[in-house]
Amino acid sequence: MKLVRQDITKNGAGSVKLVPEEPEDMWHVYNLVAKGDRVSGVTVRKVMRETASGAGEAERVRLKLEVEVETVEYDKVASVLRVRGKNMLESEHVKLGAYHTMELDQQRPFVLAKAVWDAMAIDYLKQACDPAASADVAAVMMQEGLANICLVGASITTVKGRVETSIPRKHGPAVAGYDKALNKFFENVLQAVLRHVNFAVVRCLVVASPGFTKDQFFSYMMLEATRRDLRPIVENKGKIVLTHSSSGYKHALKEVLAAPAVLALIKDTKAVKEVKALDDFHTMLANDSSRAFYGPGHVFAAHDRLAIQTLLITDELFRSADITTRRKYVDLVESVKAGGGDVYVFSSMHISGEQLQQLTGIAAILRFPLPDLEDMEL
Amino acid sequence: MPRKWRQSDFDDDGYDDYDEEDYYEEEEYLEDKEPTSTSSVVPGQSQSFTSTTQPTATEVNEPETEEGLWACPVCTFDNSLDSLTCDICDTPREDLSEKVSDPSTSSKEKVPFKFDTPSPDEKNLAARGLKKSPIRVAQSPDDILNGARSSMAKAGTSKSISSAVSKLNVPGLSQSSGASTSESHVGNGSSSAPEGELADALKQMNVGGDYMESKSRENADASTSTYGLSLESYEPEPWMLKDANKDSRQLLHLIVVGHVDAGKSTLMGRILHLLGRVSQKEMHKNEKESKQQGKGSFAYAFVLDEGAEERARGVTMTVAVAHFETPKLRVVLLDAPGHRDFVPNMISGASQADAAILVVDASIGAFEAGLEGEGQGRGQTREHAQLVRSLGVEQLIVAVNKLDAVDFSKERFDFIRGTLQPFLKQCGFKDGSLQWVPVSASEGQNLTMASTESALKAWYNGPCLIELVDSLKPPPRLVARPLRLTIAEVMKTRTLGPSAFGGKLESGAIHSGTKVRVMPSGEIATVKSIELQGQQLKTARAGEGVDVGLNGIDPGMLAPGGVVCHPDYPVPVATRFEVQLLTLDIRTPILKGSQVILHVHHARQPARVDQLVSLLDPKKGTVLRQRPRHLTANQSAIVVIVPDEGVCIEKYSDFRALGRIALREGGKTIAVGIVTDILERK
Repeated sequence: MKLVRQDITKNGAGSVKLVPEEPEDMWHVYNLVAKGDRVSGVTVRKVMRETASGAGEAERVRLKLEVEVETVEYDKVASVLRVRGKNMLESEHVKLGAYHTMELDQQRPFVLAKAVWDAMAIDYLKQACDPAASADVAAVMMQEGLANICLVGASITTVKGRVETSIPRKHGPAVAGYDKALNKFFENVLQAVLRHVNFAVVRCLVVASPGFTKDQFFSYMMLEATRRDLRPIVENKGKIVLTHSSSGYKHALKEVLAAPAVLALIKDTKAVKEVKALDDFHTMLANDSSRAFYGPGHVFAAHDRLAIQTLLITDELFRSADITTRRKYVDLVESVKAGGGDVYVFSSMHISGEQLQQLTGIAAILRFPLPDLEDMEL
Repeated sequence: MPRKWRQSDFDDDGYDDYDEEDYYEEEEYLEDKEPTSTSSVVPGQSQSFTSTTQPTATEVNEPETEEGLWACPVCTFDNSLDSLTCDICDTPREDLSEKVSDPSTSSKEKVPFKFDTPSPDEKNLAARGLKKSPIRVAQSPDDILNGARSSMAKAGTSKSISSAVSKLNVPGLSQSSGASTSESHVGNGSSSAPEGELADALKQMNVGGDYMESKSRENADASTSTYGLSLESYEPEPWMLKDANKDSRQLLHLIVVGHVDAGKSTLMGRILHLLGRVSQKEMHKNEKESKQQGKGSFAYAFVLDEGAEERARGVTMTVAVAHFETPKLRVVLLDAPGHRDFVPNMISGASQADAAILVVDASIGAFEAGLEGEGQGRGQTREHAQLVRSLGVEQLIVAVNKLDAVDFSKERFDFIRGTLQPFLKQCGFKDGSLQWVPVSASEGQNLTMASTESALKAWYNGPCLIELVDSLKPPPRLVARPLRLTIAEVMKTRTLGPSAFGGKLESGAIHSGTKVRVMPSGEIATVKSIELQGQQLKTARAGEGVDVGLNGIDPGMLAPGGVVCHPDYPVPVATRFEVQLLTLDIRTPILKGSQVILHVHHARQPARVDQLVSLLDPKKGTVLRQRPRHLTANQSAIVVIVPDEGVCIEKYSDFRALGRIALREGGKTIAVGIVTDILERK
């Protein structure tokens, strides 16, 4: 995302002008824009116009508007953001206070004004405008009869395609059908890969599966690439990594991100750090359950005793419409940081974030055990 | 039903507490002398039987009178006297005092529900002669010897029927019940011809088993009625019960499990060869091919591993199916993969199995690897044993293979036995249903006939592997229940048409022309033809694994994990359900929101743990803690599971085969359990 102009102070009012550049940027904007903020930009609105004869005629007009945000909608598939609210800028077509829904898209500049820029928002802005952070990995999660083609970005994971075929078992007269079905399945996966994976963008393509499906698919892919002269695959052979996963479902992606071969390529990305942090939490819970807690009740209680070493929290919690709730979590994050603790803000668009979201969205690893907290019902 | 810890006198296992009903059966089995005495009195006296004998019957039938416990009238779980409601189903406790004070009151008012006590409706049905088969069995001493379970159930049935009839004082009815008794005598006389005796007895036992089970469902779940008819209202059609198959031998599904490279496929390939199931020509081809690939020792494994990929890598990947026959049984052999990546395939195979052979590699180091696992995770000897038990397999043969590698040493065999036995016991296998046999697949020792190797003969003279297989007992088949046919694989063949699938009939029966409902889609289709090993069949009954072609349905509606049902009795498609879990050796704890892969019969699906309801005491089953924060290794708990999509599942108390689940994550089985309640369904 491009930051064109900024005029903000911490915990004060201010505005920034931003230009989203990639699909992922829309996700960042979604996390930045909160209820009560003002967003202004060029938008399109259908306006009724009276002709000389008195008949109404609808016309689409491009105009600049400023809305006070009431709801924000994120469209994952199309990567657009719809911001709805009351108009705050007088214009000849739209009255003050009239509702308007503004669509924010890539390459369309807009100005975001907030009454209060808290630390989280500023951090997030910095992170969103960091060009080095983008690290795309394409992953094909496979098992016999099922494949998910995923794109793992810095802060979002999207499932681009899903191939599902039922493959008969090998015995009896169906043996021939088995090979045929398997080849058909591989062909479908290959087509999906060609359609969704842009080798110019991704750092690597990971093919992961239990058993030998990945090897079978890889040899099929190479064979077909040479036969049909599929340039993108032939040229990027070196970018293809094979690794083991326990299944072809999306949530096995965390195994893939932790695999040494993949880790070497994408070491410092957010996704990998998140996977590791969550893993640490699980290990701690298994080994010493009085040093790992989840749920707002327990985590806040632990924080009261200054016990938090690592805080894991999803961005979903900051998106809360309620200002005081957001304030509460922002304060928690800041005070944990001030106390020397680590804070990981998980993207709820990643596998690990989804998992943390299921786990109430907040968890903490403590410096010292708090056994009494364990028995508390909070 | 008795709680496990009470049984510990003769059976000490700490593992399988969630599986109480299995134990109930076991106990009945052990007690078979007891009902014999009571039931054998019945025939002559059926009309004069009065309430004076009632207390005896009550005593036999009601173990809940034992101190400190009361039986839930709905799920028959034994609760401690401290709790006012049932631990399992929350049914309020009935007042026991009434029953004790007046033994002459009619059993239908005072006796809490038991398997063997019929409900008033059933008494009526039985009195009208509609359900003759169960009554009949009780009269014959042969049957009592052969089918302990059924006799026990029937003893109670006929008695209470007659008592109910006499109390009603309707002479016409009591005569009809008498008539049905004598009629059944005739039936038994003919069946006691030596040849058909066992089969017939078994058949009756099966029917009895259904009857008993169907009753357990009687008042268990009235709520199902809102989704199709309740299972209890089902009346089997006459063609389903007739045994058209001339071969009196019972069908047994046998799965072969064990750690990777323990020699499962080789062992089974060798047996098939020795039994003449593999032609000399095929064997020659296999030998040639394996030599070409530089794997001479894999020649026998190639009998079962037919896939090109499997042969090239020398690893079984999918469950291979083969058939052979023993003097008493028709065996369907399922050769499971041992590699840890293919455990999901093994699960779907094991869900069909009635018994299992656990193949253990005796060579130094290999056995240890199978048990403890190398590198990450546990060995598959361990995981497979736990899985097959939790998927309902009770009888296990442990074949200690590759004994030739250790010079047929008795010490090694005893060491392996000594190491494995406590573990298997902990898994829930009874000593009585565990059998051990030393074999060598590559040398062909002790497989189909006694060993010729002097080193082995010196210390082992027990039965060989095939004799042990022959001694396995097929479980009762639910022929008289509504149709349930699980889809294991979908295929397309010339003879069966485009919409064909293979699967196992868990209950009921089909013939060509049967209307069926395919779940979870709910589409109606017609059975076009049925095949077994490529042979056309007219009818197929519960227990058989068949390939079925359907008419009038899109192939896309069929998927592994689906269930083909009776149109009026569809299987529930659950989107949220409660299970009683037992966690295995896990390192990462199970938390609220944990992502898991759910395995139920052939269905596998991502799911999440939605709620940790309570933590249970693994021994007693009492609640230790409500809403635990997490579950760690070897704990028992009640949790709520939400699958990503609806999954065909039944409550364990309703239908066992569809009520057992396994949860896996990161390539490891983390928990096994049974479905205790279906909370939301499509």
